[in-house]
Amino acid sequence: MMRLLPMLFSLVCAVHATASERIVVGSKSFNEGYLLSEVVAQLLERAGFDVERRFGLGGTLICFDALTHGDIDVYVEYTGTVAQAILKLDTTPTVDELNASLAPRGVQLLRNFGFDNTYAFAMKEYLARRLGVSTISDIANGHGDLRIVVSHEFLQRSDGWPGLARAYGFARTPGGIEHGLAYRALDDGAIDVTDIYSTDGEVARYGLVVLTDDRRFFPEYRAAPLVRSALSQRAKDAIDSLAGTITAGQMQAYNARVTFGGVSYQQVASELLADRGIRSDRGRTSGSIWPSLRHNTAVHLRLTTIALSGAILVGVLLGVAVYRSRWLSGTMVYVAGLLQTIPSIALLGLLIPLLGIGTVPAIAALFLYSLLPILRNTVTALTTMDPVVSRVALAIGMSRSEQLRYVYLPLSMPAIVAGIRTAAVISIGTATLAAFIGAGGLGDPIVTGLALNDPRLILQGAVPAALLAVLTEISFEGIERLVVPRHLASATHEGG
Amino acid sequence: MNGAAVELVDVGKRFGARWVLESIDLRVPEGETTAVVGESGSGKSTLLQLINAVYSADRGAVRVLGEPIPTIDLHLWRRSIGYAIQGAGLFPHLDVRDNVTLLARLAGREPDFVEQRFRTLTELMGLGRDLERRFPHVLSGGERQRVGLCRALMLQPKLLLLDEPFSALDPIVRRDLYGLFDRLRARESVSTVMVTHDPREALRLARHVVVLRGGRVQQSGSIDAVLREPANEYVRSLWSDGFA
Repeated sequence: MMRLLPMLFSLVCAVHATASERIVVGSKSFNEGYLLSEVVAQLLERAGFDVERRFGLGGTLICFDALTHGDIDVYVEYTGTVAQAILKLDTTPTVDELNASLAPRGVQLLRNFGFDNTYAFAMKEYLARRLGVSTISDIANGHGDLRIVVSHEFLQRSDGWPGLARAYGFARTPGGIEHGLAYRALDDGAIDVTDIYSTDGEVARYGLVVLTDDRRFFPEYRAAPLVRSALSQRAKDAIDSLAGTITAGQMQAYNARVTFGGVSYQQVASELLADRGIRSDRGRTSGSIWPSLRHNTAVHLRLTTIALSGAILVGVLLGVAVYRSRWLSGTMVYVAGLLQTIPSIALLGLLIPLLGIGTVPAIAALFLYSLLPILRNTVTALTTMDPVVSRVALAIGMSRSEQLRYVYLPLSMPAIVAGIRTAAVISIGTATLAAFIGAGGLGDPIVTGLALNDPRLILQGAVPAALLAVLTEISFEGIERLVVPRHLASATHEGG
Repeated sequence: MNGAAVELVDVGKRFGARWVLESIDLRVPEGETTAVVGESGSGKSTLLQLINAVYSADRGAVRVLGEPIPTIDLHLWRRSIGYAIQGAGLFPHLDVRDNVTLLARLAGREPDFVEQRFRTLTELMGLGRDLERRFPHVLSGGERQRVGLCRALMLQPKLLLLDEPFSALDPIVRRDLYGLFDRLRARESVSTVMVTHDPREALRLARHVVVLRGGRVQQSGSIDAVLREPANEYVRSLWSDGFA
């Protein structure tokens, strides 16, 4: 029996795997990340795999954690990033060395696509000419009035600003900006210098010049699929088939088609495959925005509804359980308040090691945010009950539960409903950030739009999210009229 | 010694380190109205709440209707004691009918009983049927207090505790309520302990009086006896000056 079980188990696994291997493809949240991950997804679909896309994950560590947790099976990473940001190495090892370090964590790099998309510094060409600037050293020594603003990730990474500042002797610390907005800011003249990726399609488009890395600080960033080692060889082979086939110039052109050609990244991905003699039937550029809008709204509502329901249940029950103890209720409200002060994107990040990515951590985060207003309002309402009313309720012979059910809770209802209303509106707003950890919702088009520099996409998320918040406000007015006992509002104003 | 509705033997109550009631010995006769008279801070309201065990005594023994206060199911026991308070303390989210009948329904009384008892009491207290479905905030002060008395008497208590029930009312309304209270007393046989800061109210409504000052009983007995032979200058001054 003891020997039979593992055998049975591996048999079941094998059968399951061959029947229909489902592969989850993730992507980082910038244009090339979307495009290359879509290429990988289409390659897998063409090879007959069932593919689920979780694109626009917010940052390297979120992607990597998701991969090691098995929430995704593959995404496209860069060799330099693996060395510096993930493995925290100072040297630039070979791919074999990288894979030796990655193996214990159950992931591996496949062969790279061929091009090097390294960090580079860019500025407007006319400005560079006027100032006589052509290398990074030039702006490090002098030109102190140049406004250098870099992407948030670049600011933090050891192979980003901290290392660069050491290598070139920059004295000042620059501001941070979302990568997708940086080009527009350059173009508008809001900033003068920013970090870019050398394959970005914007360089020619915006009349930029790339400053020479004269001290050879930036390491190689070869784009390569990072996969879970446990993935079947057949899947790995399918993904590997594009290795070494894309040059930096070609990649710039593909990126530009997405960013400026008004072509969807799905369409460009199948063009990229077609250029390499691979036919893909997934060039879906759906004309209508309604199906995705409907889907995103439904996901958004599901996230917030589940989180809010949980918060109502826990918040009210907890409030009822602790309100008699001033110390306990004070502590509870304080802890809930503390949770509220954690920036939402940080909270989402903190939850990944515990809950992975996707729906569960998103709901958990929204739940934690919704808890405070509900708990606080419940406790406050219960503890600030009119003392005469509460004394009478006790003195005429009501049990604790009867007091709670027939007096305390009905009288607290306006405050509790107001707390729920606040929590609901917070949830709907915060849920847009859930897209960063692959939970979908109306944040999805916003994140994608930011990455692809596509205002239309951003609006497709932002407008319905705002409408949803307004609609929630309105429907809660109706709910308050229904749930709150008649005449209660006016009675509480009357006093005496 | 039979017929004590409430009996306190050497009862003391303190809040923190301060004794608000010290060594109270008291006997409230059954079937009559006893007024506990004192200025604010005298401990009279605390005394009342020792009787229905909202507070528990830190010293001494309290016996109600011949029995010690039970240790379990206190809320069921409290239902045998009526309670009304200054300002009535009506539940603002319930209408007049629900305020009066809520506890009877919680106690599982027959709907017929509830209906009939509600009818009897509201008629006795001169509350028109048009008030039944009104909420407390639209009632006058006097109406609220009458509803409060109906609620206190709903479960036919043997003992009625009144905490300054007529204090917040203007004189004319108060005089009417005194009349209604007389009518009630004629119909319902219930021992009553009434706390008041107004010696004239005690004279008007009670047959027995307990004078309380600084947490101590100054004198107790029938109104006649206390008027005739005040135990000290303070008690004497009550009937001549009243309280400021």
